[in-house]
Amino acid sequence: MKTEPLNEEENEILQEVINIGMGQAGASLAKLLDVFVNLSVPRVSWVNDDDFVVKVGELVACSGESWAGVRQAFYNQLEGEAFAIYGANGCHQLSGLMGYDESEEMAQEELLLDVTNILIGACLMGVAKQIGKQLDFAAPNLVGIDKPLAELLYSRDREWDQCLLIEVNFCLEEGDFSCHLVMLMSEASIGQLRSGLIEFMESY
Amino acid sequence: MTAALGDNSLGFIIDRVDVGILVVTENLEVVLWNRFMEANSKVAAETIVGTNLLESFPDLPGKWLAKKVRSVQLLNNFAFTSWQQRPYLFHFRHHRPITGGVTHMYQNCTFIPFEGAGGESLVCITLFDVTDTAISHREVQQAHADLEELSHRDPLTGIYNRRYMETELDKEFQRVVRYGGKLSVLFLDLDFFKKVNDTYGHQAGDQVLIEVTQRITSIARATDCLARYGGEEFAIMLPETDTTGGLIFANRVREVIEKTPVHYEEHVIAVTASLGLSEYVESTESYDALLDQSDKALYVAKKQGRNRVVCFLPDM
Repeated sequence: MKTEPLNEEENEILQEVINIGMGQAGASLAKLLDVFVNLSVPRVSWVNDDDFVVKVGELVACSGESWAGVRQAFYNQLEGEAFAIYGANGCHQLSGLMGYDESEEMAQEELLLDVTNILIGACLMGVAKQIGKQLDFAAPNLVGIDKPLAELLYSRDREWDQCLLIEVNFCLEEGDFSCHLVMLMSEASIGQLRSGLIEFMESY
Repeated sequence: MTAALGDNSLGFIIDRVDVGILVVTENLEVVLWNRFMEANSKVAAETIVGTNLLESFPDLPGKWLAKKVRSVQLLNNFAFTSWQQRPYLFHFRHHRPITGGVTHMYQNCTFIPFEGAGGESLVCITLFDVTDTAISHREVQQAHADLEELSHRDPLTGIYNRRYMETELDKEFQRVVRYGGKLSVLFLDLDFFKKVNDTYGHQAGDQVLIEVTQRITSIARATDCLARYGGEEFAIMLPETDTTGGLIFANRVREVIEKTPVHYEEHVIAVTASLGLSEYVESTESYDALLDQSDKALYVAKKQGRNRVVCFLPDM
């Protein structure tokens, strides 16, 4: 089944919806962690199977070759996968904020999963709510720690030709924690996305 | 959900489903505690409902749990825990007392925020028993580790094989190049080994290889890396060893092989070995070069009449 890609106007609304959603996510995170959260303006683009890794690589381009990655699937009216990609510095300083005991051996991995779940949940729920779509999440899992990006995003058989890529960069005002969030929505969700965007536009 | 089911049926299903279900308030006061939780914790619902969860379970990670509950309520979003990072939330016995080999039930948990009938904010925690998954995962990892170890070994003698030895030598070589230190490589070849095979048979030959291996192992240091390099050829990496130390060791090896013949069935088989030694110096270009030098020294030892140790010299 071939789905028409979004037109220019729909893309603009999408960008707006995403901006609002991420803003809300940032606000609730700030409330939870009691620190100020900086978010980049989300970048929205369409990617196809071949240039997926390259494109994500360009988006997150910054120092260091090693990354930690966590993936989380979402499903229901919108479906796809989201990746949180953390730089080599990881997020040690977040452990205190999240209520982890530094001495806990597994804390680092669990922390990555927890933070990812919160970031992805907040961002995608923010978007889904605005366009009136239902969304559920599977448990996040660790793709790798200390690995090059291509290895984190590698998949043997992708089921899609084209997908929507949303990238946003989070960082805390204090300290050097930062994280790239990459959300990929499959072609199958585009019909739902479009109907939601049209409704959103008409409600104004 | 279907309208044909009344509240009673839903209550029954929630109580009897094979998943732990509990509901808590933001202060961790228990509102619901299903039968799975009762059966595994031996704490009855009527005892725990209305009390603080931590009173009955003081071993729970209280600070963490409170944060978790608060975060799902605040963000109005699910949260998860996985057995791989947090083996369990509640320390329950598992249901594989005979076949398990584990000490507790592994659990995956989901935290679901929702609003109670009176508008109060509640969190439902579901708890899945994933002990079987954890055990299979552990078995796969163990098999993987066993295979990796096997791939390093020579099946007959049990010592390392050539490939593993070269990997280790490469690492050690790079270490001395970068940080300095001593490194020697010893090659050993059994003299007239073909004759042993031809005269007494291959099983006798195998017995000789096994015994020689045991004798070398008994006098080697734990840090030395002994490998069967080819048929009757052995290589020994000697870290932190120069030519002087290497020669002492090489001669002990030669003696321990020559001193006692190998007994196989009614046969008494005299065995000797030739050895070639070379030491890393600054001009040594690679670990390959070091191996090559030891091999050349070994060749000279053979030519000079066998059963001896020869050190590599640049004019060889």
